[in-house]
Amino acid sequence: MDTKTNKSTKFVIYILLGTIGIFSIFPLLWMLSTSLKNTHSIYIFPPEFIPKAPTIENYIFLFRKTAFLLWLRNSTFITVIAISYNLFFSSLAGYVFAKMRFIGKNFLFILLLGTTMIPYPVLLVPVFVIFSHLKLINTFTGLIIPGAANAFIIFVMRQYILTIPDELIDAAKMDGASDITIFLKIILPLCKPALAIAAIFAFLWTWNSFIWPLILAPNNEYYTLQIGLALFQSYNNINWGIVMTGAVLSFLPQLILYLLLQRYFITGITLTGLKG
Amino acid sequence: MKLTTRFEEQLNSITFLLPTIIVFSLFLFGPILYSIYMSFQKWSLLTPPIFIGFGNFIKLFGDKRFWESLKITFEYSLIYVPATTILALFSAVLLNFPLRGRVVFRALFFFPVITSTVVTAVIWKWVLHSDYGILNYFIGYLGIKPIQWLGNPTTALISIIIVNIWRDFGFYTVILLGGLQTIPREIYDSAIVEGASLRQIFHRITVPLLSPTISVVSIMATIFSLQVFDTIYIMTSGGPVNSTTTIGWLIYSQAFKYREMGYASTIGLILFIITFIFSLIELQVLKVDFKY
Repeated sequence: MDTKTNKSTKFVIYILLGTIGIFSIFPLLWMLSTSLKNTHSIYIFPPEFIPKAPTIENYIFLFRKTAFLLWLRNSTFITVIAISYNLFFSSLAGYVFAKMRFIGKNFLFILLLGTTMIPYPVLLVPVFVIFSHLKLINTFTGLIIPGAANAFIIFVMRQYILTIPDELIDAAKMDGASDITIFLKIILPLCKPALAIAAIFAFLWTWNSFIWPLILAPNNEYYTLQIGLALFQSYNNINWGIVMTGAVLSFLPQLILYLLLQRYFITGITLTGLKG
Repeated sequence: MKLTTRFEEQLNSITFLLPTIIVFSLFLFGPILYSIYMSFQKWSLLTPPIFIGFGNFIKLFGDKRFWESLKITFEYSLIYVPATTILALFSAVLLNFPLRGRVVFRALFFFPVITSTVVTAVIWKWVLHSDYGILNYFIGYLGIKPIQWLGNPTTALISIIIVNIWRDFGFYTVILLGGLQTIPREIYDSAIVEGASLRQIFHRITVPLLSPTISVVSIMATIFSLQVFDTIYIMTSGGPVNSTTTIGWLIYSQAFKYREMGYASTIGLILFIITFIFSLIELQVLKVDFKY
């Protein structure tokens, strides 16, 4: 391959990457652009790609005139509790499956992993009915449960803990450490990279969740960001500026998380491909 | 002494797993078993359930809406799965070239993946808007008249498919890229020395060596495609004229619009069985992976 074809090949590759890149990013930029326009310039023709007179009036409206802050608070509360519970007990479960011996271990592990094959529409009706019986409809407990455990996260934690040498655990046992002390003092501090991956997935799963808050908490005092946003766009007289502003703000947390933890995102997804 | 430690370990294991098992029982195991029970009942929530044996299953087989939704779901899968797999494969191969700035492109491709389904759906509802949508503005340049993307039964499903491809392909790209990076660079180098063209390299080296990962991706895509719901809820609510009523939407509307809880559970179980069959295929494919 001489340098000339190499150069033109490179050029073609860049063009193709650029095209797919624009396809990926344009709708998001259009969302941002629309959120910065007033009610008039949203409908102007030809459309302004970069707002000529950018305004934050939509943002002010959202904070002052809607329940946006309540939704933000609900989403944050539910996500924080669900992630904490999920990460702690999933790593504990990962530890049990990786390092402890008990009857029925393999069976239970396969049973847990098998749940990743359950399509969630199957669960809609029975979860709703069971939660109704348990008086969990319109409660924070009900909203937290769907995000509080996840087979994929247990799997990630187990795989990671398997790589921790048994000698560390045996030495601690010699010193008379109990199982829970070993987990808290030795295993958990070593698990930081795996916990980062797990945290990202737990966050996205709960923060972005739509169907569960939709059916489990129809009361508006329990609305999450996703539900509020869906509500905005269901009005007959949609104000697209407000809808896009809500979309920008609810997208912001995962954008920041992604930019900070990009490396872990990629590792985590590559693991998905190796699953099974 | 040894026996007691064994016993202690068993007891501790169960105790440690308990908080996880409780959540799984409430949210996964319990509901699956309960939906089997419910599929034998006629139940509107307002009145007590009535046992009707296989009534729901018999009703299902004669229900035109069910077959129609099955057809729409398969149509969705038949377009979504190959399209998203090919786009992801194409993107992964491009990203695997040792070029400057590829990390930036990888990040761009990944932005839609972290976007929630609701945000995805509202953005695209705005992009596809028939009067003020930016897409109709663009196609105006090509001399095409504005299209009612979501308001027309012939374009609604394909619009939903494109939206979900937009959101998902970056996810599969990263998996495929992980697979590509396990192929030793020497194989490529020697192929280039032998004078192989890029096309030959793609067909003779990349695709065969990557086939286990491609299979995993396409089967994952199939399973996801069978449960599509969120984007449909926001963008079309199953319409127009039921043209986007997939199985997922049918279950939701039967349960939460018509209060047919037993019947909705039955449809859910059928979806479970269909997905299970696809998962079995997945396991078969993965066995090939292990041999390899």
